Amino acid sequence: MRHDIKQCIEQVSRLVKGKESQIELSLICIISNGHLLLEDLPGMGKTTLSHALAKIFGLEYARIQFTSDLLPADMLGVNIFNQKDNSFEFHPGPVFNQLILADEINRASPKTQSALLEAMAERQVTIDGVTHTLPSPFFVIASQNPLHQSGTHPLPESQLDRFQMQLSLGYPNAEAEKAMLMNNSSVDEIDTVMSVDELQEMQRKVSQVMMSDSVVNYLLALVNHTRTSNDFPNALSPRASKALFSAAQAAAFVNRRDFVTPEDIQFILPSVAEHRLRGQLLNSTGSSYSEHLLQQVDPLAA
Amino acid sequence: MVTILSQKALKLPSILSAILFTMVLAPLYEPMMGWVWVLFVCANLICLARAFKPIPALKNRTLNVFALFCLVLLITFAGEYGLLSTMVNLLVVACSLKFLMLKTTADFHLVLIVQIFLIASGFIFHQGLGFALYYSIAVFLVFYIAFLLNMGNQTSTDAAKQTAKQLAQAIPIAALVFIIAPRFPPFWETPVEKKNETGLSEKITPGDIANLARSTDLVFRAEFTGDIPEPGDRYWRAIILDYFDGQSWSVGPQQSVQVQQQSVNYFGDFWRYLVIAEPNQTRWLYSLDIPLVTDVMSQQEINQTDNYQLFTSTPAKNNSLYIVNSYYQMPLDRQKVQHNFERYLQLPSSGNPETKKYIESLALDSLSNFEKMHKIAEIFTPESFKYTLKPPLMQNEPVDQFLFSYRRGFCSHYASALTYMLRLAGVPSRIVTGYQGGLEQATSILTVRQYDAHAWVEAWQEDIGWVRIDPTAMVAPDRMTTGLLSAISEEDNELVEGNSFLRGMASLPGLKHLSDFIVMANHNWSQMVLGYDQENQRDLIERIFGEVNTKNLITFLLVSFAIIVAIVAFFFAPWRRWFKTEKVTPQVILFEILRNRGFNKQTQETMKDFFVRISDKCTEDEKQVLFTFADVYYEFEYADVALQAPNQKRLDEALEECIKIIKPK
Repeated sequence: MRHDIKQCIEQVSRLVKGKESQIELSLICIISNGHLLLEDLPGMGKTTLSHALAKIFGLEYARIQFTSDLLPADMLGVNIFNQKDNSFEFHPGPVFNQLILADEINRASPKTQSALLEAMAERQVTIDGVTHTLPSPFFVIASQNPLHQSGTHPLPESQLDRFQMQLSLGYPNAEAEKAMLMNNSSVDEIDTVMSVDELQEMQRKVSQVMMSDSVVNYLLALVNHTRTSNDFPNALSPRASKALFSAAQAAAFVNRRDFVTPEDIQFILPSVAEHRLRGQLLNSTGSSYSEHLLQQVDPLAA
Repeated sequence: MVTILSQKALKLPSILSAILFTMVLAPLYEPMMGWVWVLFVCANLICLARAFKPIPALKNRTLNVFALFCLVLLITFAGEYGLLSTMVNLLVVACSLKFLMLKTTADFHLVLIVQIFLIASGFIFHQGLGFALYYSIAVFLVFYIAFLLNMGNQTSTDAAKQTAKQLAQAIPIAALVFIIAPRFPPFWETPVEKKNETGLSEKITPGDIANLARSTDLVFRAEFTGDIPEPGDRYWRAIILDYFDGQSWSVGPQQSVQVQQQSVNYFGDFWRYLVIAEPNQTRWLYSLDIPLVTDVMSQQEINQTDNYQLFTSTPAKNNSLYIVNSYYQMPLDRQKVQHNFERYLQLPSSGNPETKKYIESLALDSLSNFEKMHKIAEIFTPESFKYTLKPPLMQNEPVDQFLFSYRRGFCSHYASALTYMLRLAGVPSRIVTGYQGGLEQATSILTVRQYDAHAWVEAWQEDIGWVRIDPTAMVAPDRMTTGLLSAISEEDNELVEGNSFLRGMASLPGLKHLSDFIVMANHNWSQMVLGYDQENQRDLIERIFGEVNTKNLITFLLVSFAIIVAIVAFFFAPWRRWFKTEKVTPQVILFEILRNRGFNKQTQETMKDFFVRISDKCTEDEKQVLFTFADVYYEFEYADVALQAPNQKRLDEALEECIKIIKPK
């Protein structure tokens, strides 16, 4: 594994203990320039993780707590009439940050949700006919509570598709939880490992990682299988194959390889594909679609 | 797997199943009980209706009670219909009941399997070429329906193509198995079907044969090598009737069926022919005089009586095949065996006074038998008698009535009257029944049908033996030379069923060939397919290997088996994949080696996952070469394309290492 990535994981692990693999995946998500959906029960460390991620890359960080009465303007910003200049002045909202934690995104109204998701896709915001470019890099880490609660609006399939990855942290094991209780550290304590420029350089390199024919064939075989088989309620979209592609590149990059292997695909597939295959958060428990998918396709049969 | 089919998916299979069931049952009309027909029609209609409209299914309990009721009915009628027919009925009942609730694929499969059984039982009743073709269509339907049920979203045309392909693939294998499979005699006899009496019987009441004459059923074929006898000489003898009770003639109690005791010196010219006789109800077989059976190809032995009749020990259930030489220049019973002439002179004590008076009036006492015979036969002239298939009923004093009041009748009337008169005059005589004539088909083949049935008279001459005298020929000479069809008058024609069709076909120049062809095809079918038995198989082996011994038999079986394997392999083995599309890559070879070691890659495993999983069970060396191979493979397959050529070489080397190190268990 790359030294800098290892360092990142170490730093984040100081706050979120015992979740190295999830941390690695969330790093992969970020260096492949994708948005992350965290799905977990309250109090599992979603906010901490996102805050820590912002910290290690030295990103500007903002947290937006989504509530049912949150309006798009609250998030994007508003034009306010400046009496001095006799003109409208744009006051950017919290979305104008490099890393945003959209907390409990399913509690906001669909209108607000889609405003955010539009911003995520376009990386720009248009208010009153004026387009404002969002800072670069721009990441959204959204958290969603899997419980059915009244007054929530689970993200529809079309919007789930915009998240490169979906992760669940899950309960820590006893040892990790004990360590967490015994030495309580805060976000301020962890170090910034790399600069924003270095992150962007890394993203550029990730996109150059070699993807051989046979690996692409394997990837396409997986994607096609979800489309032809009857086992999957939602097939993978071309956007999903793009996400798989770049996430696999990032996974290879993290492991200091300049080419992607089937193992990389298998490693990132559950977090990239599961939420897309599953669709709406109805019964998130039960058998895993992505595991089923992996079992159906032979990586060497290209 | 239980899949309840949707209304749409149900439609075509339901309709086809109903058609199939009807098709399969149609030839089984003979063994079927009346109420089973009713049940079948109801079930079929319900099945058809269900194809178009959902119909609520019967409750299981109702159906079970109904099934029980049917079972009771079956058992009640079992005695009357015999075991075989009852079993066929049971199949039909079971299938009909299942038809009432065709819902799932499993239901359909069950019905299809029963249909196959029914088709097989159909062959117990019919074996002709036409039926074989008919049943082939039914078999095709069975498989087609099965395909429709299991082919998912394939179109029906595709399913038809697939079915045809599959059945076509099965044909060569079936043919080979038919030829090579050892032909054991049946483990149990197929129960004989009770039929309406057809064919000659051992008792005739004048007028009886008129019924026979109407049937066009085939009796036997004769294939001549060399000359064919003239139509007038084609008297196929079968049964001798010597006992008269005033009404009917029958095989007398004294007429023993014994194998010929004395040897006969055969001399003179002969006709040589092969007879293929359909099964009949009696033990008698057919031949021209004087027969010498030279070869029997069917299973049952054929014997000869002192009267030169051919018989088998029990009625033949299958076709009888035998070759006969008929020495037509020899007189009958030349040896002048000590005959017990009393039985040929037996007469009922009373009755027919007019005839008795007539014979007395002829004053024959001083004449020889030969002269008596001619004198008596003079009464039969075409002017005074009429040959007809519709004789009036003659129940009291039949001979008197026939000779002196009606003067209309059929061969048995004439034969009966003549024999009666001869016996009154003291000439030993008897009625012989058999067939006369036969239609000449193609080259040197005669087909004899039931309407050729005939009865004639044999009278004893002291110096010659038995002499054939045919009173019918004196009245209607055409009957002998051109066959029944031309002899009977126009009004009688309609009585001969199917004859107009046959005759119409033969009379058109183009269709003459066709009708000949159909006859020939049927002939070949019965001779080559139905008649194929152990003997033919031996002949075949002999023709190939020269002689039949264990070694040749085994070679024959092995060669045939190899051919079957080759056919199967040609169609089904994955050889195309091995040799054509898929290159044999190093990893395929390596996986093959590992498979021999008992290591199988699971579908989802990548190469390294696989090697890691099996590494526990490998030696260090093996582990080493495996992981080296994996590393090289990963670079070759997944890394930069520019390096593939040199990496290919490294991969081959790594494979060689693997082959060296990894030993199969």
